[in-house]
Formats: sequence, structure tokens, C-alpha cells
Amino acid sequence: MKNLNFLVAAYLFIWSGLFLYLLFISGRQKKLGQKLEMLEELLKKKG
Amino acid sequence: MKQAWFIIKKDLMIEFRKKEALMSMLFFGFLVLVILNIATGIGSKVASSVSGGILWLAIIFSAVLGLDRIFAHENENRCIDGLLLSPIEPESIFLAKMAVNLIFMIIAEVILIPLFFILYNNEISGRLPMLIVIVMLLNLGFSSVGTLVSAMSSGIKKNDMMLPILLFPVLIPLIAATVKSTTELLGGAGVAKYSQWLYLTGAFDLIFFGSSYLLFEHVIKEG
Amino acid sequence: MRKLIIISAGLFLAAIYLVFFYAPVESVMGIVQKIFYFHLPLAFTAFFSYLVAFVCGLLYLVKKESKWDIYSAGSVEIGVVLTTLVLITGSLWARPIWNTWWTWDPRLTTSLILWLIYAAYLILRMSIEQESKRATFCAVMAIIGFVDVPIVFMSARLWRSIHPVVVKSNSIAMEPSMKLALLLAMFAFFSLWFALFRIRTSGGFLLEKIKHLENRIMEK
Repeated sequence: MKNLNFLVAAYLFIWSGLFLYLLFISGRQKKLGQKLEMLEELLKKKG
Repeated sequence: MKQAWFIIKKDLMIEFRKKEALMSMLFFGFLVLVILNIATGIGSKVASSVSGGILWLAIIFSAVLGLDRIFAHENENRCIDGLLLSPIEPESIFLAKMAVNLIFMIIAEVILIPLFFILYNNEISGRLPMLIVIVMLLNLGFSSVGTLVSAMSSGIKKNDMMLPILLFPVLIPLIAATVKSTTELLGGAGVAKYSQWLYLTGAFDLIFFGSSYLLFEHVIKEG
Repeated sequence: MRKLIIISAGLFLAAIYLVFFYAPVESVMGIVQKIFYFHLPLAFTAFFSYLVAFVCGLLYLVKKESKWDIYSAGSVEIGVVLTTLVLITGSLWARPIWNTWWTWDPRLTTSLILWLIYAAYLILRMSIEQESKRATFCAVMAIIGFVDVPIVFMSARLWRSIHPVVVKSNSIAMEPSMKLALLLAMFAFFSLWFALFRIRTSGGFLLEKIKHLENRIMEK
């Protein structure tokens, strides 16, 4: 069980890194989706 | 070829008339040589294992300054549009700009390399032809990618630091190989000891001359 | 898209199970060697991203269709994230095994230089607003970056073979059970890669639609 801390650190980096990136891009996408809806409504109103 | 020759003549005439670009290049290269000597505390006698790195750092930095100028005056008055409208092919523009950059680099090196040997007390007796081969191999690779990247960076108004940021990462293997072979050469080794590095530099030159030549057309039309 | 994420999650759980409960603890390096099962797939997928970016960059220059630019940009971004993780895990492995945080091993050095090249690509992307110019310049950068890879690797290897070699990174004897765990981890990462790619590029397409709508509203 020597060096377990290095293993744990590596895994923490991998999973938190990937998870944060996933969160980041899906958050960005959600924001874009909302903006798109808003614009579509605006376009409808203007006819 | 005739068209390329025309651009080369035009650019050289402009640069030699104004001189400030060339002077800045030389001055900056000299400055780097002096600063590195003071910063590393080397004094007058330098170990050959670091001398190659110092020489090339000075040359590369001064060459980047010159590279920045290659498309600068074309963009100032949108002259590049005129060049593109004229029957001159993009390939000729690339060859011409690359040649101008090569000439600038060679002028800078002819002055900076002797200065390096004086400031750092290095000996080169009898190995000059090999040094010229190394220098020319680097020049070819540097000005191939450099011309392409410079055409891009001069079209970016928002960020004027793009040239070194884009250029240096791509150049790392070329610089590494050149520094390595120069260090071996200055250390007194025979060609056999660094011929692999020379092949690597040659491969870099071939690959990047080819790809820059082909890609330039796309870049210049957007610039 | 949701399906792809669920599949990757399942594959990852299975891979983690195999890594920790099925594959034996490596005799020389001990438990740290288990980083390897995720380090190598990270490196593979990172390299795969750059390959995709290269191909899409070429296709953009030939066809000038913005979808190729969106694909190329998406995979570079994913590639930089993965390469960052490769460098971190490589470093965390090197510390206990070779007693340094960093060795200029050819593979590590190549990863670092790749990271630099493609991080520069991301800066380039931020610095241009006009779309066709941005797409063209980025495509060119993705191409010359990828073309550089073999030379970078060769020079890193030569550099080391001239200097005395302290560490050997590729002499890991693999038992069949280890290979199986690695294979599954590989599948898991590639499926994750496609999930990330789908999400990232659909964001790019949304942005394009928004620009289009904005233009139409402006016209009215």
C-alpha cells in the first residue's frame, strides 16, 4: 500500500478534471440553448 | 519566378531605405548576447555545452523581430489586396517573402555570430563550413514556417503577440536539433556525432517548406 | 447523447473494477502502477483528438464548410484537456517510481510540446473574431501542429539516446489480466471521447444558429 497517496491524487485529478470539463461544456451548451429560444421568440414576435 | 523576384526587390528596397527594422534586429540580438552572459554569470570563458543555446537564443529572438516586419507594410495600407488582385500567384508571394526573411536572417547572423565568438571567447578554427551548414538548415526551416505564421499573425488585430506564441511551439524540435549540433560542433566533435541531428533538421525543413508552401494560399486570402 | 454518457459510465465502472480487483498489483512498482491503466488511454485519446483536428482542418480548407471548423475546434479543446491530465498523471507516476516529478522522457516531452502547440491554437481562436479568417487560420495551425508530431517525437528520442538513460518507461511486463483491464479502460475512454465530442460540437452548432438568427433579426 506504499504510495497510495499518489494513486489517489492521480485518480482525483482525472475524474475531477473530466467531470469539470463535462460540466463546463454542458453548462455552456445550456446557456446557448436558452439564448437560441429567446431569439426564436423575438423573431416570431417581429413576424 | 520573375514575379517573386519583383516582390523581393521591392521589399528589400523599402527595408534598406528605412533601415530601422534591420537595426532593431541586430541591436536586439546583441542585447540578448550581453544579457545572457551577465544573467548566467559566465564571464569570458563559456563551456561549450551551453554556448550553442546562447547563440541560438540570440539569433532566434532577433529573427522573430525581423519576421514581424515581413507583412507589416503590406497590411498598413492594405497593399496585400493589390498584390492579390495582380496576376501574381500566392506561391510567388510566399517564395518572395521567405527569401526576404532569409536575407534578413543571414545579415543578422553574419554580424551576430562573430560577435558571439568575441564575447564568449569561443574558437571555431577550421569548423566554419560545418557551422554554415547548420546555420543554413535552421534558416530554411525557420523562414518556411515563419513566413506562414507571420502571414497569419499580421492579420490578427486583436492580439499582437500571436507571432511568437504560434511560432515557438512548432519550432521547438528545430531549435533543439540546431542547438544540439552546434554544441557538439563547438565542443570539437566530428560530424558523425551529430549527423543524426542534421538529418532531423533537414527533415523538418522539407516537411515545413512543403506544408507552408501549400497552406500559404489559404492564409493570404484571409489575411 | 445521454445514451453515450451512460455507456461510458458503465464501461468506466467495469474498467475500475478490473483495474482494482482483477488485475494483480505490479510487483516492482506496486500500487502506483494502476495509474497506468488510465494514463495510457488518456494519452491515446489525446493523440486521437489531434488526429481528428488535423483531418477536419484539411477538410475545412478543401470544402470551406463551417462544420469542419466546429469539429476541428472541438477536438483540439478536448485534446488539450486530455493532454493536461496526461501530464499531471505522468508526473504523479514519475515521482514515486523515478523520484522526480518530471523526466525528459520522449513520450512526456512530446506530450508537453503538443500541449504547447495546441494551447497556442486555443489562444489563436480567442484572438480572431471574423469567422472565415478564424476557421482558416485555425485549420492551418491544426495541420502544421500535427505535421510536427513525428519530428517532435524523433528529436525527443534522439535527445535522450545521446544523454545517459536513467529511466526506462516502456519496459512494463503485462500479464493477460492487466491487458484486459487496459483494453476495457481504452474502450471507456474512447466512448467518453465521443460523448465529449458530441456535446462540445453541438454547442458549436448552437452558436452558429444563434449568429444566424441574430443576423435575421438585425435585418428586420
